[in-house]
Amino acid sequence: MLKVQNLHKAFGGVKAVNHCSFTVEKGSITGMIGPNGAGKTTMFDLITGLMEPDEGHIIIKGKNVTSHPAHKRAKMGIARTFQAIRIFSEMKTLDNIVVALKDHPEKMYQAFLPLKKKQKKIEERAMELLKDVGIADKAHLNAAELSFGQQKLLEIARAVATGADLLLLDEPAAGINLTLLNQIRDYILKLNKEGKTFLIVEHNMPFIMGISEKIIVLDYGQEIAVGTPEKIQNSDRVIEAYLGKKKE
Amino acid sequence: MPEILPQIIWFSLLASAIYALIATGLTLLFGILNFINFAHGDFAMVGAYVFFALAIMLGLPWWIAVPLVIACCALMGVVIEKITLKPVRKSPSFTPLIISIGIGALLQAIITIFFGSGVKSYRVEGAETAIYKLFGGSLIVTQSQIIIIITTILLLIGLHIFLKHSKTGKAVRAVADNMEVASILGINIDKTISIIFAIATAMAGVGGLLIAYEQNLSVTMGISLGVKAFAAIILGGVGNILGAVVGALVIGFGENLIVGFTPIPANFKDAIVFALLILMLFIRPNGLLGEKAESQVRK
Repeated sequence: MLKVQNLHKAFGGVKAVNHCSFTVEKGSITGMIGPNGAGKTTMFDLITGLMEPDEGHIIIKGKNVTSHPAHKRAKMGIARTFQAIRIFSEMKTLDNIVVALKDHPEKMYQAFLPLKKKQKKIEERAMELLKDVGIADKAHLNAAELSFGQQKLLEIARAVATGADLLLLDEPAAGINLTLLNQIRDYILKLNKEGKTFLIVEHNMPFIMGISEKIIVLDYGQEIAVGTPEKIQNSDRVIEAYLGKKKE
Repeated sequence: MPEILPQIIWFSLLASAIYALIATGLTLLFGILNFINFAHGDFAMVGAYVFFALAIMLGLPWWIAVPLVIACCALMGVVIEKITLKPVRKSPSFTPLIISIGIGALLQAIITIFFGSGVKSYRVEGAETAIYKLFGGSLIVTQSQIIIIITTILLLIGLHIFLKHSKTGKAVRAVADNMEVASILGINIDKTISIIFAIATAMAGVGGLLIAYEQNLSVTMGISLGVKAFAAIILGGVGNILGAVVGALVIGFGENLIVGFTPIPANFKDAIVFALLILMLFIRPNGLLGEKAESQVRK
């Protein structure tokens, strides 16, 4: 689904992503962990096309997209959320979803349906997505009026609305209560069952270890360990990256 | 005094309508690209001259000339953005601002080369425009003035519907809100910016040809139009469409009411606009409908 090959990005002397390679298998939930400043968010920016790498390749669904602009990659079925919520706060909750929905008509003749009918169909689909995350009753409020947790749900629903089958979530569990956390986990698992692939950056270890099949650990922009959650939890190298070297 | 009131209100409405057409485009561009386009008044000037070339020099009927003016101005806006502004999109906002001053000068020079620097007029010898007398003769209205008001209202309503209800309009608002997020949702930023430039310059062009219908054409007409549109969006709150319309109304009414009811002579109109602007910057620097600076920072 996603292949990152020898990816490199430096800001001045700081190597944010340092010749990093990994793969995310189709249909999987892959976790990405690492200490602060390990290059996780930069990695997301590179994969989604918000930044250009200095070296290396990004391959999505077997296609080299390294030089594709962000909107083209989005059309190939890749979407993301941000560490700091970035919803369109001045727009209605519903419109946040409508903007992201692809309105490719399923059949040719549907392109010729009257505009109003088409518009209604798009809004119905947007409502369904809001229902899935439990904020349908807030559809006509300005997105800025939603609570922090609801904004997080909206951002995930917006990523789903793009029709993407590869979803990159940047700290979905940060700063929310346990009830909401469980809701987000259930939503991710449900979407995964429907065939969506996830790459999730997270600091909440119980959450990410519980949900992922595979964990990639980044440190100083490099992948230092890849494996099942159990394997990662027992890896000396990972413990070292988080806690520093043990004194001999 | 009161017997001239209807006439002054009518003139105020006319002026406001033209300023609103130019100011809404200016505020749209600011909302998306975060820069003040100092060539915007000159886009209006080009629209006025293109209509002059098509309708007066070539003698095309207005229903062919007007759509051509709209198309020419839209195309001009798109091409200018692609050549001059797109390469500096990631620069600080004063870079496109300075470039836009250069574009304005360039447009004035090009128009001077083709049309000369003399004042032109749409009025054809012998042709009479229809005049209507209302309120027992205290309000005189010409046909072209009615066209100006109706056109403006239709265009503004159209713009509102486009931005609020069409999918492309929503994409425009998404790009204005956050360009990066819009791009990762699959919205083509370059295309959206082109659409906005096309709309903004086409509206300015229509504004220019409408004002030229009322007054005359001159190569420098855009400068004062641009300044007034700029004042209107500052008054109403930058980046806010409704604010631009409100600002245009304040300026249109302000300058005409003050000139009409005080001993201040009419050639002080521009000074009045600036006085309003300075006053506004003292009282409400974010404009009538603008948000407080702190809430903008939070975004």
